[in-house]
Amino acid sequence: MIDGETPNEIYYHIREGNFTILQGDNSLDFLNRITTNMIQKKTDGKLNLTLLCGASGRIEDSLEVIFSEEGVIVIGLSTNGEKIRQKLVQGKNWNERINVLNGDDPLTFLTIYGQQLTEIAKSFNLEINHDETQSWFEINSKLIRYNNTQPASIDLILQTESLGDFFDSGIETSLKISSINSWNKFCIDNSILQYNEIKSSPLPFECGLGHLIDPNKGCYPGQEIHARIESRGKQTKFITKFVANTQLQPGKYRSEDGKKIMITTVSIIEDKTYGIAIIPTHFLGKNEIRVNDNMLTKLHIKSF
Amino acid sequence: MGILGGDGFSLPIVNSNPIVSVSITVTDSALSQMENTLNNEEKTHCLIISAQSGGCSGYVYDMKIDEIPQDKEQFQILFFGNIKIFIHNGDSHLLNGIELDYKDSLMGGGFNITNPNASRECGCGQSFG
Repeated sequence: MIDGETPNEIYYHIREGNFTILQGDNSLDFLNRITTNMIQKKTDGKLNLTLLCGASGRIEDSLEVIFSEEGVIVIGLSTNGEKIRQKLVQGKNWNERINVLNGDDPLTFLTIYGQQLTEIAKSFNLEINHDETQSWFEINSKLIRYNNTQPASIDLILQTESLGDFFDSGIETSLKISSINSWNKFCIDNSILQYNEIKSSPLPFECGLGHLIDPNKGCYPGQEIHARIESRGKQTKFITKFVANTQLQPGKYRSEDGKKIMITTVSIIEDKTYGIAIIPTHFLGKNEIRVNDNMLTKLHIKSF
Repeated sequence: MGILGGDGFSLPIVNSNPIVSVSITVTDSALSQMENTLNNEEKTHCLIISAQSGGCSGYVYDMKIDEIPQDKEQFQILFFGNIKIFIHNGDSHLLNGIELDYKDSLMGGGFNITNPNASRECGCGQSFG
């Protein structure tokens, strides 16, 4: 149990990341010129994930695309939304009628998680369907999605200026703000990637996002590198979860045989560290890694 | 009302491509080929060179012969004899300094752009970054 938290509470966490809104008839074609897979226009709110990579094939941002009546909402994990939007604006052709809008401050993405979400879901008019997960619904100026995570969670995107009304509506009595430690544990348990996992610009295969590359798509920034890695099997790192019996912080470590270990996210509970790390494929199939030449510090590998 | 709607709710438009004064070089062979292509329509038509996102390296070139655009003030117009080359202000920082060449060859022939702003180019010659 995380200090100060109880299992029956419901927590919320305001997500970091960026919002870009594209408006105009060619918005989808425009986005598809640079993403690693073909985004299909889905008006049913179903999951639409893709990546933005540089010419070196490394991830610049991991994106979720939502189609709203008023535009295409692109949610990125990167905390540098300006850089992503500049890239988009610079790639606009002179005869494309597209507006790239900055939604970072006007929109807020929060996640509510806990054991008893039924009442909360009702207050959003959200029907919980355990068979059909991860579809966004647009209700009363909010985008809402139920997730079959452990514990269950509700993602919510709303106008930042209505955040006050949202918390004043009485819902705040049943919600508590999560600690970073608690949120990280939730993300680790549910294999939810955060900016921590992509901020060192890994290749998609290295952080478990290789499935977002479509080898049949044709040219996009980074495509040559991705095709070469796939055809020659040159993946050198992979992402994994771990548990250690000591307290560890995110950062670079060395295994006892000198290999680089990058710990990206941690949650420390009762002197144990639960975490996510990007490690060399050398360790594939192994159950534990000793780090920093310390016989006592072992990462017990768990599948991602 | 949707998430992006409502009274007083608006989102700032991002539009900050730097505009630079464009200068380009056109080789004699490229000029000669453009004259052939325009076929005495130089008064009403022009060559528009642009760049857009895509390709392996980040951006791809686009060239087309088209009627002279109505919103001329958005373009920089470069004159080479009777030929007018239009470059949109939004592309000026990407295309300033390019050299336009033409190779009359069965393999690898056609118009070719050399771009001093490009730190990398795709083998196909159409993408740069």
